[in-house]
Amino acid sequence: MRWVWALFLFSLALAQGPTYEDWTKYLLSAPDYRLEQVLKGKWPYLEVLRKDRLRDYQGGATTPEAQAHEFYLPLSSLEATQEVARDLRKAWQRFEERYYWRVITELNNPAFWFAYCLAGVKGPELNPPLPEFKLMVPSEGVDTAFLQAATRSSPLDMGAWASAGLHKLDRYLPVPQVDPKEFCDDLGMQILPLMYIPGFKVLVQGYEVFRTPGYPSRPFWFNEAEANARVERAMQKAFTDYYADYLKDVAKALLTPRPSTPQDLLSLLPRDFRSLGSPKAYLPVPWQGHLLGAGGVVAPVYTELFPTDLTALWDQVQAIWNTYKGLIDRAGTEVEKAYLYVHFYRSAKTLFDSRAFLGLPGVDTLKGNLENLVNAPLRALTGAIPVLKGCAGDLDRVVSCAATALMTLDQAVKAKGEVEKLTGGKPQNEPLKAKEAPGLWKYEEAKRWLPPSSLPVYEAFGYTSFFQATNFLEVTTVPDIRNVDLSQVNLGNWMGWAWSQLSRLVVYWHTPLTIDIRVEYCPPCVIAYPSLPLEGPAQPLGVPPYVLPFALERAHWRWVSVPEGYEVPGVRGAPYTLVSDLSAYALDLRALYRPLLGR
Amino acid sequence: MRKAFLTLLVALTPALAQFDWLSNLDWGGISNNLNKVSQVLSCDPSSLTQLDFSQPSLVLRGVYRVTKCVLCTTLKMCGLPDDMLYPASWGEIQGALARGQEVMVVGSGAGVEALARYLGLILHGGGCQNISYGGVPIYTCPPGGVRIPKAYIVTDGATARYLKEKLKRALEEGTLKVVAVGGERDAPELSGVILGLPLVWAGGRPYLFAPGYSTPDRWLWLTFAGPVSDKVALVARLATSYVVNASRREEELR
Repeated sequence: MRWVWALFLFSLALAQGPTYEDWTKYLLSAPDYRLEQVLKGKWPYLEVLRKDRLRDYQGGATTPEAQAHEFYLPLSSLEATQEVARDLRKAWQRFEERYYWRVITELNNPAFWFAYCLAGVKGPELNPPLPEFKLMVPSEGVDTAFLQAATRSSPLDMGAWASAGLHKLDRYLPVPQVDPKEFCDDLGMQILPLMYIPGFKVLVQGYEVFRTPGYPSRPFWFNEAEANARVERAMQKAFTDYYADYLKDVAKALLTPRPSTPQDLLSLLPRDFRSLGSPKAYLPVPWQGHLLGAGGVVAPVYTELFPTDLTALWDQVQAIWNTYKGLIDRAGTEVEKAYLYVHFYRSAKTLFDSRAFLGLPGVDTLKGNLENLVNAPLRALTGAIPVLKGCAGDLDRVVSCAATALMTLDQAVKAKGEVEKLTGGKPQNEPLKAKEAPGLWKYEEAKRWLPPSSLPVYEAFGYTSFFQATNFLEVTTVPDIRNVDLSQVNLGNWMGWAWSQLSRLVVYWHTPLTIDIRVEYCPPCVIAYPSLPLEGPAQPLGVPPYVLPFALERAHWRWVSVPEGYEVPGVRGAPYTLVSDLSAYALDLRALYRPLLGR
Repeated sequence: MRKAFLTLLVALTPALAQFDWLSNLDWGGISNNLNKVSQVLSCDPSSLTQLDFSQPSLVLRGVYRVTKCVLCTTLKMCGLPDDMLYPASWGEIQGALARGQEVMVVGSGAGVEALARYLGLILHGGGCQNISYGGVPIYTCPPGGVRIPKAYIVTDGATARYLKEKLKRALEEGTLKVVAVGGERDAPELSGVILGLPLVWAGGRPYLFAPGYSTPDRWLWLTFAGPVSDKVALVARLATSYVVNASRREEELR
């Protein structure tokens, strides 16, 4: 189990099938999920290899790089990573609010300055909900041969970045949702230069005699140069100061372990199986860091340490079965579809037979369920495929016999032997095992679709789910125009977007006037007085750029599943290293985790 | 007589009614004419005599500004936008390349690849040479020579790998940097992050291009100007510095 990847030594060069190229550098390997360790006060972790360094090391290299080819990554809880994702969202929302309100306050100085900076008018605090978990199957991770096979008949849902479309406020309110101090810094009251001469209309005895052009929506005169200068100044401020704060918030949220001391972390670990539960901890591993051009920050996740609820466990196993079957039905040959039963039965059996479940009431029921699921269809196939003909007896025996038979078939394919005879006319052109790929590559690649789970499930099925975060360069508007779902005509969706966009336009509010001239009996005299017009006390006037632009890096996150012995997607460099721009946040995480992991 | 006059009046009423709108027209009062002239003069038409004919985009920009102002003040056609896309000549792009500022190319596709090859050629050796193919010049050098401290090409992983192969010499000299935006492997979902709009940032101005022929001097080049564009350019200028940082990080990684 520990050196599963070593199996590739047995495989031969192939013309067809998957291409695991040299730049497949980072392999998930040999997870240590032993629950006994957890009970001894050690945090569960997994091991990751850097393939190129490992090769150098095996080739006898003694450089420090070659020595450091193995890395230990502590596991975090899924819930804790969701909380991190929420903090990333909150950091963005804070920046979005500060950006807009700085621009609009500076532009509408002094009116807005009085309202926000002096009186401190403020809406409710930002409080984004916990972002939901979404699994993504990264196309940079899945082998193209598998992808082609699986999408031959119909397109496949690969998921998306869990953060897609979440860089927005939950509610767009006409008041700031951050403390006005956040965007009022170094902003004083500014009355001069004059921003506009109001538009007006003149009434005589209630009859309109004159109105300025464009009244009431346009002022008589508007200081466009000053408005442009103000907006530009505010944008400059937002992008130099507030954006730097955003990057700081993101780095802090991503790189700070929660809880942050080994003592607190160890106190989360329970002392017996019954109370294992799912300790809420986030233990990030920077893989060069999340900045643009660097790599990412990753954290392998568990939903719980140990599945105490056996009914829920069976539901999970069934979900895995459904995912597996769906994918192999798409991507596999007839023989591989048959082998699916064998492969799945073996993994699930390992799970239920593991020592953790020993003597637990209800495990036997699960084993019975598993047999019911696999027995009949597998036996039906052993009759139909010649190479499996000899397999009989109890289910365990059938399964191991079928596995051996399949290896025979694989060798026949590689040796270009009489495959047809063995499969009963079913085509099997490509070998089941591939070069550089441990296990049977199609079954392994399918694991990228499996959901996060508990440690025993990871161990039995041989995969782990990761939380990953990284920055992208994005060109968009604020609020993000790409959040409108164009794929459907949905009024609610359009209305929501229109509202968000309308409430975040860059406008100058000006006040038109009505000058009322009347002859009153006071004794008879002429009175002229200005008043607010009925058309509305304040009128918006769009100021370029009308909609705020954004073209910088932004933090995104996702959850991916990685099969054992296969590539960890979306990372570069080596774990526990940080690019120099992040060194200000550089806690020595490896040193922090060492007492936890015991290595 | 009176009867005849009345009959005539009644008969002509519909025709006379037409004078209603005729009377609303301005029949050329001197003051009004002077007023129109002063309005046109307020648009600074004399700037048209001082147009910079070296670059088409500058000519068009000047003409557009005056036309827009005149149309608005005299005919009340004020709907024309302040921001406009102007065609730019290849000479203008070369001028921008010779201005001694950092150059950034963003996008992916054949156009960006061709432009990257061009930059690779002109940057190689620290100098600029006219490059011809069988006596036919395909790439031309700007008159003052190219002065680019560093050029960045921001593109997706696949294009970046391809370009790094192609442009080895310029990359080794360190004048050209290819910045891949994406993970370790080719990631299509990331390349969508960079807009499909190919853009060159040179001499402090953004230029869009529509590649049609094989060499960039034959492409349609566009630049935009106006209050909105200026603010977008402000953000883009910041983005350049982040791309510069990202390319430095990529070096750090090795």
